[in-house]
Amino acid sequence: MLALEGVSKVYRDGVEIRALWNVDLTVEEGEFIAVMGPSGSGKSTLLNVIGLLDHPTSGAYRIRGVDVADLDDRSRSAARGQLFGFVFQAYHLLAGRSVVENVELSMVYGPVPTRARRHRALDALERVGLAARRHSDPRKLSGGERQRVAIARALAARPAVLLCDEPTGNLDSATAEGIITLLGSLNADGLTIIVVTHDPDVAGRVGRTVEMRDGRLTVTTRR
Amino acid sequence: MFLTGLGTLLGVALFTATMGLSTTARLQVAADFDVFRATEVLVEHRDPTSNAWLDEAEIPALTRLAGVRSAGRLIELDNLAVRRGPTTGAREAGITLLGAEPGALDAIDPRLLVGRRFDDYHEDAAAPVVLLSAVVADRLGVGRIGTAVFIGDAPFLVAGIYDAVDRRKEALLGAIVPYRASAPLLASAPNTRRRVLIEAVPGAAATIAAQAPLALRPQEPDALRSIAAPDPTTLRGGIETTIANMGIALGVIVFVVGLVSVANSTLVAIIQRTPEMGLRRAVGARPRHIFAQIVVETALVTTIGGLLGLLIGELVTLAVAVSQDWVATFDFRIALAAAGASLLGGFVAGMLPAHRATRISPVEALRR
Ligand SMILES: Nc1ncnc2c1ncn2[C@@H]1O[C@H](COP(=O)(O)OP(=O)(O)OP(=O)(O)O)[C@@H](O)[C@H]1O
Ligand SMILES: [Mg+2]
Repeated sequence: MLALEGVSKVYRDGVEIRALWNVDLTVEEGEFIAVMGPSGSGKSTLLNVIGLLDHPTSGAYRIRGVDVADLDDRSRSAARGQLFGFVFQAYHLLAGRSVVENVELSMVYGPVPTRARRHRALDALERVGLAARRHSDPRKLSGGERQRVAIARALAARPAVLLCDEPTGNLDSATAEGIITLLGSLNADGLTIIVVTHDPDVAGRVGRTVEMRDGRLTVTTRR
Repeated sequence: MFLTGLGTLLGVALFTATMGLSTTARLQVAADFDVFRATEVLVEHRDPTSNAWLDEAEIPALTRLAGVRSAGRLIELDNLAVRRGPTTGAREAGITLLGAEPGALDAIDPRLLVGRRFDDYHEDAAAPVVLLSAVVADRLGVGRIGTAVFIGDAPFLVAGIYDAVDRRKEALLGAIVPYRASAPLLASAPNTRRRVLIEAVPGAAATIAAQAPLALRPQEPDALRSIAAPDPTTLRGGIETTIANMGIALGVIVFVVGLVSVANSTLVAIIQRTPEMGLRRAVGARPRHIFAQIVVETALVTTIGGLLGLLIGELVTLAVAVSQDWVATFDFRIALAAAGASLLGGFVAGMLPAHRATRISPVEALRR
């Protein structure tokens, strides 16, 4: 479904920084992949390239056979919004908007008609177990609850792939456990998930773990 | 967000208030000093019950003063009954009757629809002729000259009908007869005012007002008093316009400064909202969506600020008008211009921050 071939992302910041270097990776429909590796090894960069937030400097990236280099800005934005759902370590919920309004945000720029958004947002909140808090101010929620809202926001747009960059990085282990369990059950329902994590326990719960080191994708472990 | 709109609010409030006040004031100036009143001088006795002075007044001496266009005796009788026929059953109207010498009639300057003015001959003969205002003629059902009407109980011949006058606007609701012809009516009038009416050339009114008592009654000038409209509009009107223009300029400056501060604080807000911009890009927003969002948000802030400012400006105008006993004016075009300027100003002020927002890299924005 997703195929990276020899993908590199090079920054020139005085010296040449190889955030990604010659990465080959194929992701199949329904996979649950953990990306591990030390800080600065290029995990976030890999996720951003996959999610069309970032451009590789060289190499080929195909989504369902389509080379993304051929896409114009409009198609990239549309694909980013509809194919991928993002979950970040810092949640990025908008203060001053209710939980359900935050969830609806993922559908604002897509094809979902305005009238259907509320319904789909509530469905997604139901899925993460937070429907009761739909009118709350996200600032009043705990870290784990916020991350669930962020996951609901990603789910509401019904993406093909969920990209999570250290989703449990700000959470204690018990709360993190709950999030990982939730991701596991979403994957069991057929959602393709790629999660960047430092937590070795997560590795035991996923189908495949890839290791990043200095921009290179080194080891791949299947379970 | 609300502080952001404050500059626009103040600018628009100032703009609206000065515009509103200057139009209100200008109308007031026009009402206070129309050109006819500025060239009108009335002389009366300090003792309103004194009667004889008017017949004794030295009109020729007054007429010789520089700047006098015309002058004459004028007596006003309130609430006189005018009828079509000699009997009380006929159509009747209660009017103000002016007894005017030809010189005073010239100053009143009635515009005749039909007929002609009476003159020195009628005056000397105390001829029973009358000029009816169109209003009174209408009420009596008189359309032609030569008709007889009864004022008090005396018959008068209608010599003309007029629909406009330059001075003594009360004549528009009344009628005018020769000065001497009014004498027999004095008994039936409850209220009378005896005056000399002078038409001055523009600018001479104040001087004439000062000289008239001595000319009219050299033996006892202090017994008389002149009433002249304050000095002509030009000077004061000019000052009012200057003040208004300064107010408008100040309003525009405050408005522009307000917009610059809106642009600035929006820019600051954009930097604070960097993660939001990144997130919106992540859920599919294109740079143009981001641009449109910021511009519309900014315009919303300035429009709300502008409308509040408009409200405050109009309230200030109203308060001043009421306290000055002026007729408050609401100029729809000023309101429209203020609202439009706030909306447009918001779009312009939003451009730079909006452009900045589109330049935010989503990857940078979401990193943390
Ligand atoms: N805009 C940039 N300019 C220069 N170097 C950059 C830029 N963005 C990222 N890098 C570098 O690219 C490398 C990979 O960064 P990346 O954020 O992908 O690491 P990571 O594996 O996600 O690290 P962490 O676990 O700390 O989040 C790092 O060395 C980083 O310094
Ligand atoms: Mg990272």
